Amino acid sequence: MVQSDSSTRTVIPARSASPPQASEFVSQWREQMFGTTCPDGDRQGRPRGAGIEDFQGETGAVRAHLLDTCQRGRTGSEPVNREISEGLERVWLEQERQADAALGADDSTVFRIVLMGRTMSGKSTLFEALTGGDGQRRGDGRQRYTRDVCVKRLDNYPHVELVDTPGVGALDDPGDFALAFEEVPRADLILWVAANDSIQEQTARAIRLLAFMGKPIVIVLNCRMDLNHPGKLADFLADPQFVFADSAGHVQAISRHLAQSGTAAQGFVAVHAEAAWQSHRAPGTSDRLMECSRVSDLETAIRTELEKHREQRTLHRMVDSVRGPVLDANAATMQAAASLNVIAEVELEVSKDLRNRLLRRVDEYQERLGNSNARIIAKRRSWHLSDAADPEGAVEKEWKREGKRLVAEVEKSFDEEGRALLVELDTISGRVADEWKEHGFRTRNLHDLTGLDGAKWNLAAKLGISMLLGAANYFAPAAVGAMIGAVGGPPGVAIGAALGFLVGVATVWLNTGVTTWLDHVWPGHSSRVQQRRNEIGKQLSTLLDDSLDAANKAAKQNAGAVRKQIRKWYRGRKRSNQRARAAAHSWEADVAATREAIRKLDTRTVQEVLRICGRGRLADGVIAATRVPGVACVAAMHERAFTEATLFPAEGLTEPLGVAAAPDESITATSSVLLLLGLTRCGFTVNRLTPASAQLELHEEDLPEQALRYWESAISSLVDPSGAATIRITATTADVGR
Amino acid sequence: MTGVHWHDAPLRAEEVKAELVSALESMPAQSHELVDKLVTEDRAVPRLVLTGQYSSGKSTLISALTDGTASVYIDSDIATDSVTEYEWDGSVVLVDTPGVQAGVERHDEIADDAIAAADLVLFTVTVDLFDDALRDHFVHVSDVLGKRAQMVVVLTKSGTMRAVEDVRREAISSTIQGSPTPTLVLCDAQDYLRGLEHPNPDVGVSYMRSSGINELREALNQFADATGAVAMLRQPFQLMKSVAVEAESLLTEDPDERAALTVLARLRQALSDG
Repeated sequence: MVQSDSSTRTVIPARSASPPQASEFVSQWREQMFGTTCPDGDRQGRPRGAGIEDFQGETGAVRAHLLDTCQRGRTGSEPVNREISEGLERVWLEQERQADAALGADDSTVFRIVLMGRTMSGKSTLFEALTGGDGQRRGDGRQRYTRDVCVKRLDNYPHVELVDTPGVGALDDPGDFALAFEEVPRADLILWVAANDSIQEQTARAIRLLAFMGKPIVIVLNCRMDLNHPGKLADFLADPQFVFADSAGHVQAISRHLAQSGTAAQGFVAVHAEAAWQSHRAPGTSDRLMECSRVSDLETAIRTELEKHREQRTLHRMVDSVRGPVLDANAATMQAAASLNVIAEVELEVSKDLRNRLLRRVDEYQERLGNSNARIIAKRRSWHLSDAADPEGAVEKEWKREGKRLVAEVEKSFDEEGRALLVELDTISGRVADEWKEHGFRTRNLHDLTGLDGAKWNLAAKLGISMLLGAANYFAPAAVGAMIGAVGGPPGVAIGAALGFLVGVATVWLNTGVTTWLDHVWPGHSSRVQQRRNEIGKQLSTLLDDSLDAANKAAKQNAGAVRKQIRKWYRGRKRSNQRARAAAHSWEADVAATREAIRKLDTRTVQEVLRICGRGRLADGVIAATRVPGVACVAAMHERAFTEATLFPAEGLTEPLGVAAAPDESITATSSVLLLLGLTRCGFTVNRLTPASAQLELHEEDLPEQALRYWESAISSLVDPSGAATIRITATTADVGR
Repeated sequence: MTGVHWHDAPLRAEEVKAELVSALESMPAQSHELVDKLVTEDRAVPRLVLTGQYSSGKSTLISALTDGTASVYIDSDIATDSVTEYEWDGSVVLVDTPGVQAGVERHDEIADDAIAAADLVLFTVTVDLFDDALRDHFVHVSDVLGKRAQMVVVLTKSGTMRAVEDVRREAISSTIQGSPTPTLVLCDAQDYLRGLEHPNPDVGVSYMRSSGINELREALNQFADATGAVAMLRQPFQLMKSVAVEAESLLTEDPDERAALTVLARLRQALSDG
């Protein structure tokens, strides 16, 4: 069966719909292995579906994870990440509410069928026809006639609840859409009612969203024709075929939309809802009207569904009502963590950049003060030779006056440089913020953040979460202003004043006059004048040197104080950054834990489904399983169970099952081939197969992209829950055998 | 003849003209010059543009309006994707545009140009009534393209669903309110076509009667009348009438010419009626 070419490619041919006839050898081997030709020997080993009640415990465990995450999220909010935390919390609370609502309504004894569809498609007429109602809910030709959700038990099936919902797509829809979709998690089966009119894109989106939610859908095409016209009624009763004539085109269109979401409808039924309803109140033509309405086809579809899949549907509904919200919360959490990490990364770089630029400016401040100090001092180096320093004049007075002038000049220069520094620190902060706002995030490919697929993102968007926006808005002026505040107004630093200088030296100039040592040189006269000037010069020189030192020291102290503030601010940024990363990390850890819980739940679910289908021994052989609700499930099995599952595939499963053997209880990407074999009958080419990655190319062009992604996701989460394995499934028309 | 003046009048004018020309040619030689007077100016062919809800049965509506003479491909899954023009016996051009659908952002310039150039816009909406996208499209056609005064709103597929009296009229009126209020016609083109082909003629007539297509035709004629289009349509008839009167005066009591005179008299009568 399997052909290999000269390269590493292996081609697996397409398989027929029915399993191939086992050869005699295989039959004998079967008997040898299992002692019977019927693999269902342990059918009686456990009553079918007995485990459904147990699942309340299982779903409760998954829900507990959600609550834990929620709780932690609430306490761990960092101010810097507030926007993200709050957005995430909204999602968590919404998901928690949904899970609670679903659990609250959980009743494993009831099968819930939910009628959904575009406004005026005839849902309520069908509802009244199926429940034998009084017609109160039937519309009168206006939109949004049905505004509420109505639940009734079916007469013939007391354990079946039929739920009528408001239609989607009406003018200025004030929330009917949300009200209708609230019912989906609690549904065992959706009847999508469509009128025989071309499908509007808005309605198509609702269908695709519904398909994403993994619920089984039966399409009910309500072929409308007003029976109040006597000619029409007669024609309809004579041969209703013309009313249903163009059903195929509509069915194809709806199928296409479902396929885009990777699913297919459980069935299609074309009915005339109005005829069915009128049959209850038209004694003469009652039976014929009912017959022509073809509602019996729908009843047959529902009955078949009940007989074949009731237990599985109920089990899946109970599990998925919790699993879905938890997964949505998980996806949002991953998105939030990714956003937060990007913000943290960018923010740290911005902070570092800003710190460096601010420090450079402080260096410049100190240098400029140094130059200015030197200039001020240098001007006075030859003061002792000036007229003012005439030893015979009022030298003492002049000395003090000069001292005052010097102090004033130094003070002025400190004041000016200090003011300039403050202004420029502000400017630099603003400039850095602008630069990063422009380019910082753009270079980081925020678009590439993974985690949410289209439908989930819709949900997140609906809940008002705007994490990416949060990232882009991070550098709003307010945030920058806060940083500037920290740098510009450090408490206790009088950046404009030469404090050290004033305290250290200026007092000497002002208080210690020249008189004391001038007294010593007084006795001599002209010959001594020069000597006195020299003495003054010497004293002056020392004093000027000391003054320069003191002024520079003051500049250094001032600069140091500002540097300290900047560094303190930066350390603060770093700490908050670490806290942000830690929060993101803890969110990721929560997600991982929740994933593990979901994996356990999936394993239990698949085991239970196998038991429901009478394959208890297979169920016991399942080591691990993952599901994509309504689309597929894959399972790793003990070798013996795997052999049994391959020879006698489980039948009647509502989700196709792919199986692989895991001899030592572990499974790698190499199992992808076996798993995919269980999910599709298409042939495919194995382009690459290693324990860490698999590339499989299906020989089919028209497979919807979403189905491939679902299969990838089911397989890769089974192979490696951490998502490290790369499973890539593509679809092209391969030139088989080349 | 479909009863739509826009369509019927030019066709009838051609027929009458042919008859008149042959009558004139059978008369004495001096009458032949009158044929040259029968030149009518080329009249711009009126353009009826259909727009509205995607797949609201515009193509079926064209089939019904034209009694099935304009051939349109109709399929429940694939509808008109670009602007399509149908020539209706050379007297009217029917233009089908893609229509809008909720959830699809499309600004179709070709369709907009076609709507802007329309003598009359048939704006279609189904029994499912307006959704947000269609309401926006109505505002676009009515206010942005400025066609409010040249619009007839057609509710299609009226025979597919029962509705309480006036519920639909009220629902649509409240959506399209403004001045002037476009005429609203409820019809079902599918019922009309079914009636045309119905094996039982009586039932067929009841289908056609309740289909509302005749009401739509009447609305088109009223519009043509109100806008002076009817006066233009009458012009060729008036011209032919004056030529016929002139030809009559050229004839003698000669018995041979009696036959021609009779024809002319009949034609004049016909033209007076027209």
